[in-house]
Amino acid sequence: MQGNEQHRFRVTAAIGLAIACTTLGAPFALMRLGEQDWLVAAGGLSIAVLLCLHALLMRLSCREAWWTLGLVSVSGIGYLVHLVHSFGVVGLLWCFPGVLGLYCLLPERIAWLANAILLLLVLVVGHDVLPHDLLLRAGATLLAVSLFAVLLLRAVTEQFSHLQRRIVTDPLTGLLNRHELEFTLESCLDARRHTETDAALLALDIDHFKQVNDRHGHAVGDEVLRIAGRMLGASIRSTDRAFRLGGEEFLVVLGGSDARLAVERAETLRLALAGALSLPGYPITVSIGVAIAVPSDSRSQWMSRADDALYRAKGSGRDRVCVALRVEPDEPSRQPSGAFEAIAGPKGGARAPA
Amino acid sequence: MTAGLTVHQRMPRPTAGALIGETDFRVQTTQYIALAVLLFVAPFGLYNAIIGRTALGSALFVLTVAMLTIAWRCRNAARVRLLPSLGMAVMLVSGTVLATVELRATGWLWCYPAVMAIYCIVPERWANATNLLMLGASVPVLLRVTEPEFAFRAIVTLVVTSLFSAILIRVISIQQDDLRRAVTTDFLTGCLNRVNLEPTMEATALRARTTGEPASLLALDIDHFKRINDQLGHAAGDRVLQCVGDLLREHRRTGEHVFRTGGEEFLWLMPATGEREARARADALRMAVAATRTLPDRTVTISIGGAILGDEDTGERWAHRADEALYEAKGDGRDRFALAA
Repeated sequence: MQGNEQHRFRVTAAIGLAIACTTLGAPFALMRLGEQDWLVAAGGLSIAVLLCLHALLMRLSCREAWWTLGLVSVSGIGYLVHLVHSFGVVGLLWCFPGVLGLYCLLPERIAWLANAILLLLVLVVGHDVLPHDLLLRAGATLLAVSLFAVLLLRAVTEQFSHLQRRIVTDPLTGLLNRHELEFTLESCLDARRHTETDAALLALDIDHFKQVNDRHGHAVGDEVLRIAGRMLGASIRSTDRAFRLGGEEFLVVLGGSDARLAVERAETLRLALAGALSLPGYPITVSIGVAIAVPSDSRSQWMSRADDALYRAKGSGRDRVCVALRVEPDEPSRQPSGAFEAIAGPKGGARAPA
Repeated sequence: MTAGLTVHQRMPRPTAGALIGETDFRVQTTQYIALAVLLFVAPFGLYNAIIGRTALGSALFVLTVAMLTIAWRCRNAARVRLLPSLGMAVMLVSGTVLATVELRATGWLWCYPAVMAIYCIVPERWANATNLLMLGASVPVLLRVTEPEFAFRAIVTLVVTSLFSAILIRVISIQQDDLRRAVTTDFLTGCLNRVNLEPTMEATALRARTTGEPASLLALDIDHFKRINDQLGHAAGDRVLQCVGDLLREHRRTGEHVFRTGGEEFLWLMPATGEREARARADALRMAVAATRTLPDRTVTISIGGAILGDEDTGERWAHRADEALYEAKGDGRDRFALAA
């Protein structure tokens, strides 16, 4: 989503820049025809045309039009420096919108670089053609305009990422919500298909959670969910992602875990969560379904196998880990219910209240 | 089911129209602008004072002090205060016009950073207005003190700079609105989520008390949803949620809000709606849900509990009463409407 937003922003900016340059900039370049200054007239006109072309390309495709972008930036900077060289302070005036144009046109970091180059060249050329006090102010004001543009973009980018984080985060547990789920599953499946990287899905559900809520109130129920979220968040590695799907349902995507490792980690999680969640005199347990990704999986097939394994765990008495059996590549993905095996059951007397 | 409200209450209260914890980016840019003024403007002010241009020198000095004060005072606020910032913008305009009168082209150059600074410290509409003021004031001055060749280009480049700044700020606002909507909308059903639930309920209650109109709150729950999820899988459950969400949003009128408060629970907030109307519309929705073939092999129904805003209701109590009515509807056999006492 962030990528799309950024692109939309850049397309709008490119179109605005093209319109401004064509209507307000190009006429002044054409006026130089009266003084037989062919270079300035032709240069100004071609930059306007290039900008329109660039805006059009950006509008039509969903990718950056690097060729026109490079061409228009380099020629734009060259043209501005030439204007300062030929017309002194009158040429310098165009550098102010020029700086902003660079920030509209280029990705942030490249814009910094282009901006620095423009400033440097203008100061070097201006040194010969501008009076000393004017040059000093030109440097200061151009620098201030550049700085403001940078700061504005910086502040805005920061706020975007702040909001972006809020969109993908579940407020109660601090885990991810469903927003990023499809993307995460798809990239794991991609990795499975192309690089044979293993991936496992743990569908996790707190047993008899409705009863916790009913008996102890929603505040306690929320606290249980919060602790579960914190533990899940702390127990995953950098290649894993933990989601709260809603209610008492969680999903953990383990990148690079094969069946044995996934079951081991699920078992560790089950024990750790049961220990941490239980209230005084009121044991709380979790059930986990494990599904290993196979190359033929779609997102929903993978999810539903993990779900099926979870229901199997619930159906066979809860407080346990069940794993969906590996699907053979040629077999249909839907397995009969006999294709599950319970890997681990409750140890000791940790039983959920009936 | 009131879990949503209790969770919500632990969070700090939001300021009007904004999200909890959201700060206007202008607070931050104001701090930066103050720093930039200190670094760029103050030295020139000092220089002008030393060489005898006392008016300009002291004007720049006042401008620097004012900018620093504004930045210091709003450093921890959620948004900038309009009047001081607007005063600052007007000072920037008069400062640059004064500089142009005294120094001609050299003074004029300050217009460009001033235009951008105004967009960084003043809310959008006021920034646009102040910029028009800047253009209006500087055109006659420029034509009087500089050559036409310079004056025309100076005006056009200032217009372009203003336009770019205005467009930049506009695009940013649109994007922020989009993102804000995404934060307050439930991803699955397109209803609102709990983020703005409490403030919206409080505002509705307050308006109902001021105008003397009734207000109704309906709590909805899909019957036997857990069974659907367990027997048919999450995909079917999600489809049911989406379907109920769609019907709810179709039945909602302008000014009303529908929330998905979690799991299979929804809230429908109806300002200016009394008991009879609330009951009729709840029944209409209930029948619409039952009549829609959401799943191929079974009928999906909903239970609804309604509460008319009472004199002693807080937002939480109101929601609680609707919840209790919902439990009553469930207890009476589901697929029905019950009104709180």
